[in-house]
Amino acid sequence: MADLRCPNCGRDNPNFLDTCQFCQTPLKPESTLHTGDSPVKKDTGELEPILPQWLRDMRQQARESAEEDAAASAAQPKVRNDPPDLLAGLASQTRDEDNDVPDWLASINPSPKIKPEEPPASDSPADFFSQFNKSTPEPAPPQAEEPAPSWMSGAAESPRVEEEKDELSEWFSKAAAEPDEVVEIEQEPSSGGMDMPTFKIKEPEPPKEEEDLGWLRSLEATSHQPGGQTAAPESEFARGGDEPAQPTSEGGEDLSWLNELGGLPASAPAESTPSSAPVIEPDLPEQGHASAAQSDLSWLDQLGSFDPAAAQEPEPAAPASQETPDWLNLPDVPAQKFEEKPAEDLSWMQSFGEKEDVASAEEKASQFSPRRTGPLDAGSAEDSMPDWLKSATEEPSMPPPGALSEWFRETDASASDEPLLSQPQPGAPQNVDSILSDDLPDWFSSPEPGEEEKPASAVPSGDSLAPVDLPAWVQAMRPVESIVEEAPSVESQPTEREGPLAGLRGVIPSAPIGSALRPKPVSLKLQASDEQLAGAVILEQILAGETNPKPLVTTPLVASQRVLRWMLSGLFIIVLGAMIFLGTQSMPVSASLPAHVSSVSSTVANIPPGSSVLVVIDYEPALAGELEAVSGPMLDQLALLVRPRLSFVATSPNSSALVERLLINTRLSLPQPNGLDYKLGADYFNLGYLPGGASGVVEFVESPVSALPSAGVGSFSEYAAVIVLTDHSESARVWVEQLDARKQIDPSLANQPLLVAASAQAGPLLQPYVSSRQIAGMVNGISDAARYEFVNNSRPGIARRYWDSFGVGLLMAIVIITIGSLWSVVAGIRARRAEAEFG
Amino acid sequence: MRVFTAAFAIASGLIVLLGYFLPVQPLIQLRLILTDWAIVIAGFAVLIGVFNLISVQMEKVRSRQPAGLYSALLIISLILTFGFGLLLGPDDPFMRLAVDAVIVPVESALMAILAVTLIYASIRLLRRRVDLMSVIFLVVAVLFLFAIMPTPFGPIPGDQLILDLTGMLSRGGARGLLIGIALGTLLTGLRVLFGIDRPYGGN
Repeated sequence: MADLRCPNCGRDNPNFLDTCQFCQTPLKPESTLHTGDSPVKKDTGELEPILPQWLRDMRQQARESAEEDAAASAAQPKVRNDPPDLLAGLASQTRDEDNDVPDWLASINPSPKIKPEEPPASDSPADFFSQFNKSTPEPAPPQAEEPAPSWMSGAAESPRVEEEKDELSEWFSKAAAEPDEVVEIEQEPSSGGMDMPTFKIKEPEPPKEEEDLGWLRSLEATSHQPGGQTAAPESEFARGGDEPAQPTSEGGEDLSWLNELGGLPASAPAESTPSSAPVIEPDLPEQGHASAAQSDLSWLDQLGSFDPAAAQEPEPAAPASQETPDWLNLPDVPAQKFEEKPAEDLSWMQSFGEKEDVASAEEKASQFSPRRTGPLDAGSAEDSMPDWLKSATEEPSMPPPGALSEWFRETDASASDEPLLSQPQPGAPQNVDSILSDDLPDWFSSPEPGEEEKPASAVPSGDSLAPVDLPAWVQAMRPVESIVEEAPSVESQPTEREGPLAGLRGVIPSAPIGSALRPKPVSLKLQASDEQLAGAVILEQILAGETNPKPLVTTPLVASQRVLRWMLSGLFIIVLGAMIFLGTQSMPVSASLPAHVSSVSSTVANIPPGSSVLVVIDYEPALAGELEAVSGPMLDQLALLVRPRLSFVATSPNSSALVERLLINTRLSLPQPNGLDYKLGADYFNLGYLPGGASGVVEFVESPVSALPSAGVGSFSEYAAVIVLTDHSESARVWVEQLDARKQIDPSLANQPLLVAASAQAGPLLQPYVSSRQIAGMVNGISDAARYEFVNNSRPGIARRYWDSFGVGLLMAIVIITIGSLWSVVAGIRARRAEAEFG
Repeated sequence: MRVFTAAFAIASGLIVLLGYFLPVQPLIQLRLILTDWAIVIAGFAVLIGVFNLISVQMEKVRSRQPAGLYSALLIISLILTFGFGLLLGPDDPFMRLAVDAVIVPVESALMAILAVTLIYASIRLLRRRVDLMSVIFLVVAVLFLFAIMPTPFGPIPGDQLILDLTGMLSRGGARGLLIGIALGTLLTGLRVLFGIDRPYGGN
């Protein structure tokens, strides 16, 4: 196959193309179809191999069904009372539900049954595709000369129709030629045992309407193809055989095929309707009958009823009668009745053609509805009317075909206003089954009651087509994609480069893959409002506050405790300091000595004069003041009475340094007359620290020289008495135990008394030894010392100096402890009560 | 080694114990020798303690810790006092001044703080715990203080009764403590003698 080079773009194109598939430039001079050129028949058989499989299958099925129907009709005896051809198709459909031929096509194509002698319509499907090969345009006749569409004009030319075996036209002709039979069938609706249910006008169903609309849109979309290919999508039944595509103007380009559907000129129905009125039967309601016939044919008249020529001429009866197709010529029908119906059918056409006056349109619209115009008794009409006829006579829920075509026309005319419906939608696939379905589109077969009035009343007086709003039912049928997203225009669609659709544009809607139906990407970022962000910030602050340590609530309490301590310390310091500074001795001292103190005094008095006395210093410097005061009266009495040699031994490392302090404070080492003038090394000896604890005591008790070489005595029994000055009960206990044990071994120690001067804190623990007489006597604390001192003529006076301060201090302590304890009890009760209240 | 140390410890204890109960001269001499070793070891333990104190404080000074200044002051004072004590003796006026001017006031101040703390603790006692023993403790303390407290009017009535009562209670408690201490000491000595407790190491 030789290629044709485009004179414009220079690219190669298949030779069967008339226009360049790339730039749409006519490849052949004769490929351009001009206005007024008559179409030339071409052989399109070469396009057969490149057809899509589904089209070839359809064509094959159509051929086979046509042959089968022809054979079946030939085998069946022709019954006189058969329903009209229109219903005969339905009968054949009900008989053979499995017929591959589309039901709708079979139902409207009864020619094989009625006229089996006619050649089968096997060639007719090929004619539909032959248009692709008609690159040579014929000068189209002027529009004024052929107001009827091409297929209608072709139908009018009966010899040509027969030659080309147009099934639809043939069927229409038969339908017009056998009106009586139809009437008879209607009188006997149950003849043949069939109720003709499939032919009943059904209520519009949205899903099917959508399919129908897609089909229409597909047909319409093909009408937009430029050049000679604009006529490609025309259906066979609409075109009437091999009639070439009529060149259309810019404005009516997309509506050309619709205008050709039943495209009688406005004046054509006036003459053709007489032949389409045989359905009226005397015994049937006129209007009902008429409406039935009307429902059969009017929709064809209304389909694509817009005729520019008719729109320009206001006279509806002007068209020539020779242009009326033969199948529409029903001579046996009264012209008077017939004229009413065509007028009714074409009223909307004229109204949409904006040429008919409102009065005639209303009159015709009123005749459109059989119920409103039926003069007969409604009850009898309803009883006698078969079901299928009732449904056929009912007012359609959809607008009449004329209204739909008007909508299409306006939509095409104003493509920019309604591009969604005028263009094939990506999401609305062209369902072939819907095209060839058994049932005719509901809206196609059932006019909507009352809709025929609207065009009449809404027809503008001007010539231009005013854009109108889409009807509600059309809007309901609009695919969702058309609402959601604007469909691209035809111009924006790419041109097909290969296949049978090469050179066409917009036939197959193209859309970016996934762009239309793909869900829009959802941003992962939260779209939060300011209020939500503020709440999130507060939540973050709360969470952050959980991790931060909270300040202790007890801080004020600690501060108050510290203040209280300072207050107590200051109070004691001030008061006791004042007492010591003043040196008051106002508080009397009891003269009665306790027993253990009296024992000390008597024991001291029994010590032989000039003997050695061991004084154990076993207290810490912290308690030096107390022990000096406690031991002062005893040492003073001892020094005064017997003047012993004092040997000081310390069992604590710091105690050896306290010996001189003790002798000074007790005035032993002070010179006369204030002191006793004890001299170190002569009257007293500081033996130092005795280490080893109990072992040292044992060693010193057993052999003082071995323990402390500076002891100056050969045995422990040389000490006339042992005086222990201690603040620890433990150290005193060691001395008591070791001396008692040694006394049991060494009888010479039996008369060696053990005297203890203990602090107030150690005295109670040494009381058992005092009670057991292991300790000969004990002075315990300031209280005993003051009394002992008072008995000892207030010498050395240390205890007496402390006495008043000691008394005031004790009094303060008692008061503070008492008041403080009571306050603590009350505060504790309040705190516990508060805790119980607040949980 | 563990057996040797244990045998030596047990033998020393048995010898000293037998020296108390068996007035046999060898046992008494042996006990005295062991006791002298114990005294020498205890004396060296004091010196070891002093040296340990010096080393710890020196480490603080060497590592420049925040309390290093006080550590240095302690070390310097210890060395001076130890040196002057060895040279001058404990009866030197300088040593007496060191004791009377530093050691005694410091420790006496601590005892005064202890007195205030005890009073404060007595105040807070019923705040922390209000029970019978706390109340008894406070009541007895207050009564004892009342009994020994000198007043301008002389002893309070019933002071001797209170002192006898408290003395009786204190003597009973003290004897119980002394008996417990004696039993504990006896038991500890027996455990050491039988090798059950090994405070000298070896467990």
